[in-house]
Amino acid sequence: MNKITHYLIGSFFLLILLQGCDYNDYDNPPEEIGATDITTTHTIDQLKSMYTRGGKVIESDIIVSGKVISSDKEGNIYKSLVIQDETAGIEVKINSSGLYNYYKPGRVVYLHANNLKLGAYGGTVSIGSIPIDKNYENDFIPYPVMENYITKGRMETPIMPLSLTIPTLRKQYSNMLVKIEDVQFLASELSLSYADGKNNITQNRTLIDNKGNRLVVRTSGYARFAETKVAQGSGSITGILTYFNETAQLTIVKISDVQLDKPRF
Amino acid sequence: MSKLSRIIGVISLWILGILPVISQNLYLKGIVTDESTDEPVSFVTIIVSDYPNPIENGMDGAFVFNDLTEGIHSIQFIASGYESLIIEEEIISPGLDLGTIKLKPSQSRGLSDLMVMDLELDMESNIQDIAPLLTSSRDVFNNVASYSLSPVRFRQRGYEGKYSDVYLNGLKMNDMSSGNVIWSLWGGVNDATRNQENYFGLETGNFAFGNLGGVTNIITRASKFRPGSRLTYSMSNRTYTNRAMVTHATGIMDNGWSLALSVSRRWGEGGYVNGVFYDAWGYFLALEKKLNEKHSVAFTAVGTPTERGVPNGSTQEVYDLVGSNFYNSNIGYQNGEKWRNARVRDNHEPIMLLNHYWDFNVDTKLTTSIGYRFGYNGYSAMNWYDAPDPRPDYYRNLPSYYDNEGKFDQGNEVREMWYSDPNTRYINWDRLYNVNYENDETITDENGNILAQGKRSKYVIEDRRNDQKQINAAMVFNTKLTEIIKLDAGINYRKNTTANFNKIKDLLGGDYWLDIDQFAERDFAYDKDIIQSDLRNPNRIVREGDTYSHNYDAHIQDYKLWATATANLFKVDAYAGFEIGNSSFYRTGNYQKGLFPDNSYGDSEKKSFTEFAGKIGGTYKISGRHYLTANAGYIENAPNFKDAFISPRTRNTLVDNLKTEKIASADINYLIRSPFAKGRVTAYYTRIMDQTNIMSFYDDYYRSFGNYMMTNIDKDHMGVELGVELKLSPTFTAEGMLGYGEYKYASNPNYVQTVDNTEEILEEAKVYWKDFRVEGTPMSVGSLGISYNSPNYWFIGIKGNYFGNSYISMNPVLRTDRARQQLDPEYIDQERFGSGFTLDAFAGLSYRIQYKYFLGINISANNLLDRKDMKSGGYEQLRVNVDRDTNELRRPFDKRYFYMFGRNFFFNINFRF
Repeated sequence: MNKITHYLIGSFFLLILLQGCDYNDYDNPPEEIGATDITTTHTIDQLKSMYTRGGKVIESDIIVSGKVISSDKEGNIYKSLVIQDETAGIEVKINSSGLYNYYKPGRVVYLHANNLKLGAYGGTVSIGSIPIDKNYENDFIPYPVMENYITKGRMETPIMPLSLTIPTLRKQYSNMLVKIEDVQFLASELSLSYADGKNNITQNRTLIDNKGNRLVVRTSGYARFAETKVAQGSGSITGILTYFNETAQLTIVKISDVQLDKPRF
Repeated sequence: MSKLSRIIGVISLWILGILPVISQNLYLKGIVTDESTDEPVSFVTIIVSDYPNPIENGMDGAFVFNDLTEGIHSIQFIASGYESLIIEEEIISPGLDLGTIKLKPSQSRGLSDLMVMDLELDMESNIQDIAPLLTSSRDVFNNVASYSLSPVRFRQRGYEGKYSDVYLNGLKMNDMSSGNVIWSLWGGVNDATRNQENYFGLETGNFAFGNLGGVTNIITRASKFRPGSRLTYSMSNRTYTNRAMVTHATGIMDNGWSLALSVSRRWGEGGYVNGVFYDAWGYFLALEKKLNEKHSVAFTAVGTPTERGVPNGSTQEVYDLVGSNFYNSNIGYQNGEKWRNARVRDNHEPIMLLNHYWDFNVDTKLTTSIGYRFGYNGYSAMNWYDAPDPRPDYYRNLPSYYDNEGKFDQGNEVREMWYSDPNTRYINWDRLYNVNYENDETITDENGNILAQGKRSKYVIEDRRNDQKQINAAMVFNTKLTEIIKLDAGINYRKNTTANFNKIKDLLGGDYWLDIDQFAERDFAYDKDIIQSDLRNPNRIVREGDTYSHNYDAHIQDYKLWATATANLFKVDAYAGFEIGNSSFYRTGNYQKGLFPDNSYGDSEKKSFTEFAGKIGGTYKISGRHYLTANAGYIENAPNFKDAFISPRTRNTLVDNLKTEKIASADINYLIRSPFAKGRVTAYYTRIMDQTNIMSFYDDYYRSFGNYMMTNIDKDHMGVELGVELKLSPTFTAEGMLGYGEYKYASNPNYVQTVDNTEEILEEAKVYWKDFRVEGTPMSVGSLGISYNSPNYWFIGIKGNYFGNSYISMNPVLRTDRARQQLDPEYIDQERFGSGFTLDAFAGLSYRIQYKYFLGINISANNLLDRKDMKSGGYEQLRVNVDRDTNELRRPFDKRYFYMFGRNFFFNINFRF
């Protein structure tokens, strides 16, 4: 073989061997911190009071902000994001499970209400998408467009729950995080679990304080803790306060918020 | 016997050709050379009409036949890499010396490489089989069909890929779990695999019994490689972009050793489809030592470490939203830098063979072979736990999900996102990482001990591994029992262990993953044991590189004994053959699954099946130019491992009533072989019975994951084929082919549907799809081409192709009683893909430099008309929307399609010396 071929082979081998590729090498993307420069136009309370009978479509660039207090991680909350500011709390209806992956309790979020609709169910105002079904005043916001309406702000410390007693619960605290002290489940319920997890049936349990006041604890049959026996002792319980017409009820976000470990009264 | 009857007897025997004609022992000899180099060409197969056996010429190009009869004979020269040549000569006593026969190097060499790499296009669906396409086949129909029709996934006679066998030096290389041919095992070292014997249909060579769709034997004996070196560079815009190959072969050296070596590299970011990167190497080594005149020993090693991104088929709605039929939903743009593909194939499965060739004499030889195959094969995918589905074309992320409920405003909002937001159209990798970054979680066991702390990944990339170890052993004996009867026989054995398991490939910014079954958790959240993937390692914390989720071994083995006898008479050839054997398999679970604690760990029951096959056929030589052949065969095949277990990932439960599938097939052919025309007309009929198939999917009606086992699947394949090649002049050649077939389901299979989580039987009934079509291949095809071969070693050609009558892969659920009652009739019909026409062109030249060096260039352009709207395949998804209120089936999920690439090209340059 003469020199030309030698060179050809050599350069050919080089061409082959030098072709290392990094097609499948990736850098980790940066952490998203969250927006800080968004100005709100209304408080949550002001937004809720815009509600009119039958529902109210928001047609201007209204922006409210609140901290996330709900989490669907333990399965008791579904397709809803509850946010709370100093004035009130509101449920945002979103058509997705696993919302806690994006919006953890303590995260500040900005809600852009334009093109959303305030609607009431059982007397409680929530905000969601404009519905086609006349049976409901608002619908769930589609997951693919969720970020058009909700902007993530910074992660801050989770909200301190309002310390209340059963008699001091009020509709103005609807969809806010509350903590009730010195309560226990009815003795007749101590053998039951929070809900029927085997058949996925939502059930109510009743808390009683030492004055005999009662409060409903409503748990979904899909909650992870549905089959867990109700806490047997007395103590405090934290949850989201909701109202179904005149009835107050508590929604447990996570089972560790139920701290009924002191002796019963 | 009376005198008259004796005369009649002799005359009839003579007519039948059994009684030999008077003059024989005439010779025919010559030397075969390469027309462009004048160098001798060896390993040429030379067939003479009226002569029983083809012969192969020697290293010096010379050949000789010694017992020919007087008269005009058709003489055919076939050599891989060269165009076959047919001449007709009259042979008169004492014989004929043809002198030098010049063969023209084959022009379509580059195109065959193109075919192999296209077959590696992968997809997530039931349609996995792709029949092997035969390169440099002797058959006109095959040749023409292969090159032009692979873009529309043409399968000759509609046969699934598992009915074609591929051998490497006499050892069967089909995948033992599925029966399919895995071309990627030696893809890329095309120079090394060019030497092939190809047979389509029931006829076969002398190295195996054969199979319904034919056999290919790739010969990698170092002594069979033409000596010399070759450098190749190719470029294309189809799947890989660039390829470079270096090959060197010594031929038989004075010390009796031969060596052949090839190294290749393929790389690129993909042509038509984004994110389909290709990063592959290939190596090949063949060594052979001629021990003496009778014995040779050969060694072969081949491997093709490959990493490549894979495309996906989407629904028409998605293709229209994105504005391209080549959208790939497997990808996303990570960190603003480049496309990242969630589905990457990563494999390296080297094969090593040892062969011993013992030539007792010119008529008898014994070949003993042993091979070993090992390595790893991974296919990555996203996995997620309790988090929104990250796939961009997940049905709830599409406008149709909202439109179907009448929520048109919401649908339009989502549509706008598809138009404007790349993070909606593609995987939003940055967001997946951020979900993991934010998910600080501590995992404790029942006693409060901390098992893991830190970021628990909600999204990961897992690697789905199928790592095989296989031993093949075979002995093949070829001999001539008498002057006219030859015998080919053999025994072979294969044993395979495939490890099936998942590994965490990338934690996507998180620190660990908790290994529990999230689907079991959905139904049984309260039971800590049921949700375990492995009760022997509860709450396993896994990190990158750790095995998790499922882990089992498939053990498969088979052994066979076969023999074929061939009688070559004057006017008639006939053969008969049989094969008997046994196939057995069992599963070994390595994880004790919480859902099936008694039925998942350890060995399953061992299943064993006896298989029998027989075939018979013959050729009637009407004249030296015209032949009539017929073949008939019956084959039994044991079920594949993957169709025998209801849910092999989770448990040892076998499908009830496993049966062997049975095939009966017959074909009749008329062939013409003359210097001016080569052609074949065929009619065939094949019936396949008792196939099984298992599918797994989420059933919206029962709201659970289920397994669907179908048995008693029967199919009919019948049709006609016509292939013809005409030498219009010394320079113009025309070729054409026509195929018309009907491939139908011939029975209404039984099915059993079970819940994956509990094994509870949900329903058992029939699938009513008799007379629906077999999917995935055009049943009507045609092609017409003309080429010009200049005496100055350049060529140009153009070819038009037609294809039609290709049907979609069906969802059997849509053809059950319930579906027929509840669904709109349009969903029961089976979609037929549109027919189409494509135009291909090719050209090339061969240039001689300084006497010893050759430069070859060829280029081919396919789909010149740039049609991008022709479906090449597709499947009906297995999910059906259910009306929540009435619990009735409402509408099936949209079908997914694959489209044929638009105009594409392949350029190849090689340098030989």
